Amino acid sequence: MSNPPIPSTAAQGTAETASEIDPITAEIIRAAFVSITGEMKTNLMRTAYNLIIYEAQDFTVGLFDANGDTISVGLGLPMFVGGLSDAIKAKLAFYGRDGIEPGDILLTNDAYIMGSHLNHMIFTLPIFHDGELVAFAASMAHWIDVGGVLGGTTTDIYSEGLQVPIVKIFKRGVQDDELTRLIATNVRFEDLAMGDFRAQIAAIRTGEARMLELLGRYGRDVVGASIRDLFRRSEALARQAVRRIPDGDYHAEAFMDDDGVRIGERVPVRVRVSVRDDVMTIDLSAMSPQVAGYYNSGETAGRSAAQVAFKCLTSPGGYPINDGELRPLQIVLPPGTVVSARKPAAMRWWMTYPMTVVDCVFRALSEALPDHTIAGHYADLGLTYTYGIDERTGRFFQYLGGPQGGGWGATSGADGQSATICINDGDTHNAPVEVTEAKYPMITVEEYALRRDSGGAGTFRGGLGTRMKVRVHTAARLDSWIERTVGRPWGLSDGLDAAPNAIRVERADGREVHFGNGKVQTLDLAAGDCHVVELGGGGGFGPPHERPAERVLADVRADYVSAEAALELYAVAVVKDHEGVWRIDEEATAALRSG
Amino acid sequence: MPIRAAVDIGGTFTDVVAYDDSSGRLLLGKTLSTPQDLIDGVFGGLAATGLTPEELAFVIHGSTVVVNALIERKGARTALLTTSGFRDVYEIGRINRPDAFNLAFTKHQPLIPRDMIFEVPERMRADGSVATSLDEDATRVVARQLSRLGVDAVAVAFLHAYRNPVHEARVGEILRSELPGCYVTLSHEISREYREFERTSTVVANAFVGPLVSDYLSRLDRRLSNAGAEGTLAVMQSNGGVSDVVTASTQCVQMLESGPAGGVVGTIALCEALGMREAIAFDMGGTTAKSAVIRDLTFPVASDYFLGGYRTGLPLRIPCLDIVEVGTGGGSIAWLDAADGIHVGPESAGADPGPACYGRGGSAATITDAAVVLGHMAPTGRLAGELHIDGEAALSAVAGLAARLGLDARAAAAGIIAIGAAAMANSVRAVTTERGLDPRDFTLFAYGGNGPLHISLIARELSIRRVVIPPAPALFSAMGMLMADARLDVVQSGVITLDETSADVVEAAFTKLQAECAQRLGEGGVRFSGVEFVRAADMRYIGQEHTVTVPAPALLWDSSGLDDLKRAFDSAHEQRYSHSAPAESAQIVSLRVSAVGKLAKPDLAKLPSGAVAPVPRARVGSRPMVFSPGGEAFDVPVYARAELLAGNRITGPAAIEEPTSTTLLRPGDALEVDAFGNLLLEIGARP
Repeated sequence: MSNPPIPSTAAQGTAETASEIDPITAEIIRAAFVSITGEMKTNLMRTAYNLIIYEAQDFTVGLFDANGDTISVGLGLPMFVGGLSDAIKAKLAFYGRDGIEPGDILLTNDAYIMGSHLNHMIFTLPIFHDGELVAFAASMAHWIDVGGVLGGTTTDIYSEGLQVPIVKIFKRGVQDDELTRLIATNVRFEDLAMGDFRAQIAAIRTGEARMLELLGRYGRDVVGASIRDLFRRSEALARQAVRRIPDGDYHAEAFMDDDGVRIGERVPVRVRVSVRDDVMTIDLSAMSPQVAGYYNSGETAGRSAAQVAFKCLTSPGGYPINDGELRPLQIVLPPGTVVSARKPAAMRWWMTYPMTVVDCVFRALSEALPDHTIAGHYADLGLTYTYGIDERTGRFFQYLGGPQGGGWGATSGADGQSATICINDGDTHNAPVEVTEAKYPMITVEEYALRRDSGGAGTFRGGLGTRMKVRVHTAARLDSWIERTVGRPWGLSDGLDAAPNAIRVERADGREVHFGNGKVQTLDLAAGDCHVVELGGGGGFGPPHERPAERVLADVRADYVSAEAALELYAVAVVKDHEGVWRIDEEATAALRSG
Repeated sequence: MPIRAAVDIGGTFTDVVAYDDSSGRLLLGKTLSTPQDLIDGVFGGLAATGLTPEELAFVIHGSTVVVNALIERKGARTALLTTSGFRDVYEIGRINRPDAFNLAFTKHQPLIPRDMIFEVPERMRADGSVATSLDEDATRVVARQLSRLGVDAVAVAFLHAYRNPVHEARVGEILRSELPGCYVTLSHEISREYREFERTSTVVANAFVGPLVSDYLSRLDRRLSNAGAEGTLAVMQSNGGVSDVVTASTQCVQMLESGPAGGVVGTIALCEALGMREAIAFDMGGTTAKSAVIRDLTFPVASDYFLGGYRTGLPLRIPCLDIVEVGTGGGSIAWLDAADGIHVGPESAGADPGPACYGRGGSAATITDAAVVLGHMAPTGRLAGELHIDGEAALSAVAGLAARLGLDARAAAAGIIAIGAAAMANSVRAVTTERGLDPRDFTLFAYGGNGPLHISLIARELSIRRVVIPPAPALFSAMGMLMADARLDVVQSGVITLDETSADVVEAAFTKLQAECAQRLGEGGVRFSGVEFVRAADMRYIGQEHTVTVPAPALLWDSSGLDDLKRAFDSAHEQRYSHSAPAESAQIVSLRVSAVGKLAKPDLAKLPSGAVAPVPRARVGSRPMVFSPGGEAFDVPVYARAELLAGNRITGPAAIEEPTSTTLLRPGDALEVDAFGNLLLEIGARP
């Protein structure tokens, strides 16, 4: 071992913070973990074949200890924060520690283990050091297709594609050719899938190589001690943050439009949060039971929603995600709810509902933590799916429209961000119009713009949503899964709600078709038809009348807010002067605001 | 007089390196930068070399003027014209939240507000055909509105202009006639890669700094000629080459990384002299450390630069030095979080107040303070720019932190150095192991004020055994600028599927770009002796999004040309990502051509030969040093670099001092002085 522990000459505080490793080595090894998962992430992102992995960053890679607890993850997908760890624990339980051998690589896409849809393939590589299982490297990536029905809705898991139970895709270093062919046979784009398969394997092998280098240099004991040190410090920081929240019981609720099957039937989202000293409990037992349509997610997703909310509230800038910082969080989540669904619940659109769960946690704590929460956001990916045979080439195409971004909520100190990805995702990018049109000559994006007046009014204004208009030049079919077209993103502390999400079709002859619940199922489009997706804004924070008139004027000049809204919602009279420049009518405004 | 000088304005110092062609003499000057008017620092630096402007035949200039203007947002009143329906491309950006768990995150902040963005009716398709003709009348209406608004600069970014620029070009003509004197910049003139937000951000940045930078360059040119300099002023660019003042005034953003580019050009020149082809250039200054990897003596270029960092920064899509930066420099602050975990950086004490040992009011413990506490840097003495080291202040800053950790000051200082070195080693991994390269295959060139002091530990972390410290490492970026050629790059997006094209088609596309590059380079004011072309292609497998840049042959002919290109791509992919798919077909996404016009270079100065042992007067003293957290202090010899001769060998531990820089040899290291005065370090094994 290279760095002998430095003897400590002063007390380290309470027993809770006692360390078995010197702080310098601990920090160097911690940084190495982050560097390793960063390298795994780069490796996967750049070699993946499908755009969803590269542009949408729908993947997660990570290092885990021998129990499957998270050491460090390279996100990826924030809402998958617990998915890898849970899958590894399930794999450990299935084979037992002795049933996993060097050279094995485990695979599953079991929706109920990882909580999400079948597109998520999880590869896990056990890392052995001197013959002992010491850690795992794992990668999840979203495959563009795993079979199952195209378009329309599903009502059970069997129609959603290939289910791979926990299997060994490599056994003692040898790839299982039969299993591989079985998988390749059941997906629509075999080349893409196998490209992503190779990329995922390469990423976890990178993690293994770097981890072995670290173990070789510092030894298993020191690396193990620094993992425990990382957990301990992260936990201590999170507990400090929870202690700052007043003890109490808090709750919030919202609703989803419907499940796509029982049209118009609202789906309740109910969240209870209690804080006692340094422990937070998030109770999701009052959530809606699982639904008939494919908006269910598994227990891991429900737990991840609670963990995402907890992380945002307690340690946004602290240590990278690890098991320790989530220890002060207790989650109550009985099976059978819409975020802890049981087989054979349909799961294809698992991502949507948990986002509103996260927002509800922020809402529940808004009175207790006014300066650390955020008003509601549009909480949807806003995706569309246009597919068919291009009349000009005779080839099948599928165009995934979005994500295009919507508004985030305001906080007690700042306006909300406009045109930003929803909380399910993190470093996810939109598709550049130039890339889209080069790739899909059968479509034209005619407009991509901010939506005026879509942000909730407030002392701090919510962010603006966006509008995207897409025209097809061939007959095609359209599906969409847009939610929250009824339940608006909420304001906080007398801030107002924002505009909700919406989708419509504009036929070539000018007729418009609207969709009351945002869900479009295998709608036929003719050449020349357009679809228009309008995503909502973020809620406002604080009473709109307290927003300084100059800021309202600036919003009108930038056309974020109309003069009408300035008058009606903000009580600021903005008028054009003789040069056509917007000015505040001071007298009228004073009169309006004094009332 | 046949003197050529390079002037590099950095954040803290302005460095001048001048070379006298007739005598082979090298002159060095260093002075504090002058933020009020950077040009004053140029003359201050020249004065420090003892030269007068009349003696200068050729001046190469690198400057932070562009970075400063963009970071401080002190630019022109700028408007943006976009395609109808796409006014918000610039504000919407890419919608990502890299800070996924931070509820207070903010997106990129546009340089110009939305009310200065105007739509023009026109539309191109992806294949370059016209979907909607340009509405010239509407363009004139917008132009007159801009005139009333009193704008100083206009950027134009239309969809698919990278493929067909005629609408942008016509709008440029209209704007120039309607708004005489206004700085107009068109997206296709700056970047011809697809992705509209990135191209828009690039052209807006160029317009935003355009009036200021073109004024700066013309003032500098004028002040030099007023002072009697008759030679040409050339401008260092981020692509590793120089351009003339006129070109630099239209392509202002190309100056962004001119300083770091100079260092990498210098590294390549040294590699050539030493018979090496692969190197890592490592530049550690006061706030950051930058790493770039050089393969086959090629200047590393990428197009994914973010001004102000990836998370919230503005993208600039220009061919720019491919560099990875980490917030670890001499001024990086060591701090404890609320759970008593220790971290180093990225917060920096900067140049002002600087580390505690600068005695200018800084009290936080920095990497430089830790180096002073350990004796690696002298605890007394003068720094450049009239600064003096205060060893007591360093000790008291580090001791404060150490007490909270329950360590003694020396252990904490050694820990700070080790954490910093580990972070810098991780950033070197980002340009090597993350790209499938083994750092042990490379020689590490360390420069910048702090590089030579920390490189031994960084090299150990990476198991790199060979390190080169060039002469005057703190001025090495300026030295490198003297080694630069004239250069112009064009990157042209346009997806070509290899199975659906022929070598003739690709060759014709390359030839056309070469002709354009050669013409533009030839029209510039910098005279050069011959042109060489470098070709590359950004390629991917069909279905992939991300590309790998692959060097392309100088001539593609018959079908084997495309096969060669495909094989080169397969092997580059294999090397970088440890897998490839030779059976699958591939696409070219962009073609890259660089035209390099050869300029005269200084001959590297030779040092007289000496014995194996340095002359006695080279050993100027000794001081106690500590090398590891648990280590004891012991006396270590100190040498003056100026007294070392070629062939001298020194075994570590030792410190080799020169003005503004110290090279540290740890126990187990050794060095030899080569004929050019480089210190060739052999790094000992990791303890």
